[in-house]
Amino acid sequence: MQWRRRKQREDDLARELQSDLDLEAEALTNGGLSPGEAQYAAKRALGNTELIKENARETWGWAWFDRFREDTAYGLRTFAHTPGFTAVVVLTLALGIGATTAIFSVVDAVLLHPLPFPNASRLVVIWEKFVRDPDAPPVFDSYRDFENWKHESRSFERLAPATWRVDGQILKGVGPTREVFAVPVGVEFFPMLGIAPEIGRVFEPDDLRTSCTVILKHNFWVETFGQQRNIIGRHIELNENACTIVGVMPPAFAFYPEAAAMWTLITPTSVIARNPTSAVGVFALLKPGISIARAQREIQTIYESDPSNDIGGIHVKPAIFPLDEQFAYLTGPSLRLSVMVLFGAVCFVLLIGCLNIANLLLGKSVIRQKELSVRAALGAGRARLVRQLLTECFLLSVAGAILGILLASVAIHYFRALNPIPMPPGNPVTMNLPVLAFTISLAVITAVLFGLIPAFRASRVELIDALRVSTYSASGSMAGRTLRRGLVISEVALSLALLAGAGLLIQSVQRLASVPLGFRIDALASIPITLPNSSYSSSNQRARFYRAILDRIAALPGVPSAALASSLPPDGRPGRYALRVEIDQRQYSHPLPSTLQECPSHQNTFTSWTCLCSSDEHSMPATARENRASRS
Amino acid sequence: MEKRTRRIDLLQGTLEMLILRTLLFGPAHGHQIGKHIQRTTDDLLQVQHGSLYPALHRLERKGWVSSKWETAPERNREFKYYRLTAAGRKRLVQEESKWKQMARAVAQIMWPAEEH
Repeated sequence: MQWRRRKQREDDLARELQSDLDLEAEALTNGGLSPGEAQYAAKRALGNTELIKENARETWGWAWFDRFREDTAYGLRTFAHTPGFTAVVVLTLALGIGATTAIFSVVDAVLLHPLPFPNASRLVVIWEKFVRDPDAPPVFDSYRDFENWKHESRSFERLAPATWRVDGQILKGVGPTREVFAVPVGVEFFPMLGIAPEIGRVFEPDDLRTSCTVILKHNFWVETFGQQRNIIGRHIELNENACTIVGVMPPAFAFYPEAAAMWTLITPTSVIARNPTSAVGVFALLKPGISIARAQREIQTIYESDPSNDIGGIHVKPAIFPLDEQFAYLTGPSLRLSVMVLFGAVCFVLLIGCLNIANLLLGKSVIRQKELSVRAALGAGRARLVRQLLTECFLLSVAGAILGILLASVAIHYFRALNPIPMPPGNPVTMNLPVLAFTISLAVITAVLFGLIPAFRASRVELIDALRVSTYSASGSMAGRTLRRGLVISEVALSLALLAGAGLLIQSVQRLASVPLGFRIDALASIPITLPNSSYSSSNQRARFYRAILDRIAALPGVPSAALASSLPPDGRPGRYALRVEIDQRQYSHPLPSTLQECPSHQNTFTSWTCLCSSDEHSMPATARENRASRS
Repeated sequence: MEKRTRRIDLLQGTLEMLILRTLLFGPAHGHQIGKHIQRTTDDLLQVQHGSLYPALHRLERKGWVSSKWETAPERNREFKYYRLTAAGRKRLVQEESKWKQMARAVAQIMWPAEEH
């Protein structure tokens, strides 16, 4: 429709101009000129018909599109003449844009949209911070605090505890008996996150009366039950308690910690609820319109009003954090910073690439001087020339962006396959719409970035000079040289800054990796073991077990020494890991870090310890060797 | 060449006013409009075709003139005739008063003594 109307207008205009020409010629013939002369004179009087047509078209409002089409066609022809140049530019851009896009997809998943939950912006977590040491990492709350806030606060729509400070649970009843990580959560946990289960249902208040209910994580369900859909209501045995499966979460559901295989419900009779000092994280959904600061004041007042929190002065106080940054923090306290640094670095790379291309284009503009002068002589204005050159840049950057998106997809694929750094649970790293939008704007920005200066330079045509000089003066004018020099200088400066930064980073990682631990780890092995509470209910029983196993390991041929510890150095977190056996070679002369304990029989209240022993590697017992292989 | 030096460049927007004024006499095609302006000013204002036709199209787009192909009287040929619309008439009045104000203002600066 549009095109038909347009064609009609074109014909109309041509006819109108022709009739003007005819009338003029007619008048001149009447004045005594021969028809041929009159025709010629009339044409001269009318002037450049193409220019008139172009000016008229401008008033129709289609001109920009026409020009874009023309410029595109012209630009593509130019690129076809210089395939080498075009390939270099497009590849440079593809690498720059591809790298930036790939890292941006990580930024998007870690920093911008980390939570795959509705109402993600209202989700918060309440930790406790040390009053005297505000820089120390926050710690879990007590279950009693959760109950206080639950009953007395008005700021939250929903409030649920969850904790991963628990031992592994021994799973029986499906497949081989093994240890699984089950995270205890409150009844409002899933409604708070707003994610519906894939099959079955989430926890309900009625479940609080039964002893144990569980919801399975998707991949645990796939691995253990092979996606059987009829498992709802089935019993599994966790630490010798019969637990009913009530639901399975969808594959996209993710919550910290990633290793969780299932979630169990905290009931009034469960261990956590019976002990008011149990360590739990309190997660909450703020009511709409309630600020974090307001909720913070409220929970603090509630916290301080509970006399049991005042153990000779307040040592910790509750602090609210938005949940969206917490997953990244929990996964790695410096993850956010590293991702931002990485993103900054690739932006630098892209900037250097742009400067490089700008320089190439400036060089090329000297060669194109003549062509541009001819166009200027034929009536192209400066704006028209700038537009032509910018359109070409735009074409280059679009080609670069398309190739870059392909590169980034490959990079993201490998990133997800290799998993080089631990990523927080939540939205996965993908090429999604925000990332694509980012890439498209990146393409436009880069086009302007590398194209604007060369375009303005090249379009400043000194008509007469350029047309008269038959050979190009290779270096261009003085100002042109200064500009190009400036570009090279900034390029080198940026590259150096980037190189220095990257070098320092690599150096720090190397140094960090070569810091002596105080003991040798090359022939150490650790074996975690969990004792079920039911069979080893008393501390005496557990101590007897540990003593026995330590003796037997120490008696193995080629094991010079063995030890138990509550946690492995240099990881200082106490006591939630199971028994570990470490085997070392000949000398073990370095002092042990303080977290190591030499199987002290009086500290037998722990259910699990770490056992370290040193051994002659060549005669390492089969179990230990296997274990070592599986851990490396 | 001599004629060229005598010619006065039209002020921005003036051409449109002159076209509207010309069409007040009745419908006319592009060639007639150009010739009319040229003749009435003793060839002082020579309207460039390069600006006349774009100006006509612009006026049409703004709705101040309308166009139609019609057969010319005593001629067996169609021409594109432009005629003033109601909006165009209104516009002409506005432009005219604006022009008068401006001419008065310029005169007051150029010949202040003669005014008194």
